[in-house]
Amino acid sequence: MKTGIVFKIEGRKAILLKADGSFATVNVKNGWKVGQTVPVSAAPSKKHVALLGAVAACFSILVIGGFIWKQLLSGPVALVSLDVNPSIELSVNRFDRIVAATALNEEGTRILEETDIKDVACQEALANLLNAEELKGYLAADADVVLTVFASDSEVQASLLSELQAVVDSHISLYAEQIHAEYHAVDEDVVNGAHGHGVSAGKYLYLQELQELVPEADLSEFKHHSIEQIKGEIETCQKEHGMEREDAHHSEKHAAQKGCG
Amino acid sequence: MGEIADDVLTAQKDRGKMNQLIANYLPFIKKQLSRLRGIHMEYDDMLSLAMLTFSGCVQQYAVDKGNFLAFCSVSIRNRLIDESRKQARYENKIVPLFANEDEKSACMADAEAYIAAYNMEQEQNSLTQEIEAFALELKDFGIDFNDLPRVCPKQARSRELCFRLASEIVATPVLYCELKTTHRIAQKSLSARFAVSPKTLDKHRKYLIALVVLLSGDYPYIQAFLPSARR
Repeated sequence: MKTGIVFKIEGRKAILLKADGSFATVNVKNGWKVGQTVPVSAAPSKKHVALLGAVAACFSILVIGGFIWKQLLSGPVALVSLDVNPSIELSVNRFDRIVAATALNEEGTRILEETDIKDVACQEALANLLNAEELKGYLAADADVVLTVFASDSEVQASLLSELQAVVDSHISLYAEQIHAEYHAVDEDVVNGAHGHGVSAGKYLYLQELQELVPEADLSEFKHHSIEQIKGEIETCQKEHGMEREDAHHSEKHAAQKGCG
Repeated sequence: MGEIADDVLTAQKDRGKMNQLIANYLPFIKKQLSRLRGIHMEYDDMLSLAMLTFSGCVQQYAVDKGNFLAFCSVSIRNRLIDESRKQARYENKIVPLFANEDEKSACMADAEAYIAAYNMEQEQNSLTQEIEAFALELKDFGIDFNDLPRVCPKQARSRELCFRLASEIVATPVLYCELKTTHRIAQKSLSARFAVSPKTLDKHRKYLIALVVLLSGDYPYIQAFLPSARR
């Protein structure tokens, strides 16, 4: 505790001369008089208190801002799915950076173990995936590559789809000329349905097509099939339906002829 | 002992002799501090108060009060104990009442308490008078007490420098006269002599002038309280 001499009292403030030769303005305590020696607490000056307050406020802003950044600003605004046979879903934030990558089959898991794409720009992440050693074996002639993009903002969706299409096109041409690549903008229903079946949005589109042809089909039996295999199933069903339609047409014609003769 | 009494009586009328007396008896004053226990104050503050009390004792001493050093010793001790109690009440702590239980008897304690109260009152009255005079003298230079907290250097090192500069001005008639007549500090001279920038001198001008007025004026109690008195 320091000591000071009271030099002046004005209202609720007093000016003290302290033993270290400094002058200070402090709050008057009961019973103080000019000429009296009084104890002076080593309280931080108003300037220091203001500075400490400012530092605390800045720190709070940084912490809260960081939390908001993490939760809102860096949260996913788009989902990208890639099916080559490895099936992968990427969550993309508003800055086109990858915030999460999910493998939807074993092959996809192996690809993600090999490639670190967290916080990488989406276009670069896709290029890195297509360059992965594990994936090269799948990029052969007659391979199917399906890329889908979902975003609640249609402009973001269109822009992202266009950019990613360019990335995929430039990569697959390096490997084989006869790779079939498809690019789809999907809506929330497709994404929810895909997640419900544990498959990518691209694969789910084909499963939906199959279900239209074979309404009684159990889709869970096909979720582990590759897109190529599902497409084969669809073709088979279409052919069968086509033969049935021909038969039905011939029967009608025959019946009509009988009716006329 | 007669010699000390003579010195004290001379110092009552001569400020220079008073300062000399404090300087000569500084070891005695410090020794009073070292004998005390349980005083919860910083050493610098204890020393300032002890020197202030010593000045008061010089002013109040009369031959019929007996031995000056014994009178002074008791006064310093009681002053510090009282101040420590005051600060303990302020901080809500428990402080031992006496430094040495063996030394005290109820009769002596009462007498010393009376002396301590009287000394404090005298000291406060003297300080009040000095402060009033100091305020008037500062007014001539256009300085008010309200200015001093703002213009006072925050760093101890800067205050040290100002004390040295102020002492130099007081000790140099040419510089002192220039300040008294023009109310301005000889910035060029001081800047060259102490290798201090004119900006620094200008920044602490009011504080520097206040120190010059204090060190050159008739303010023994305030001077005793200042760190310069310890050198």
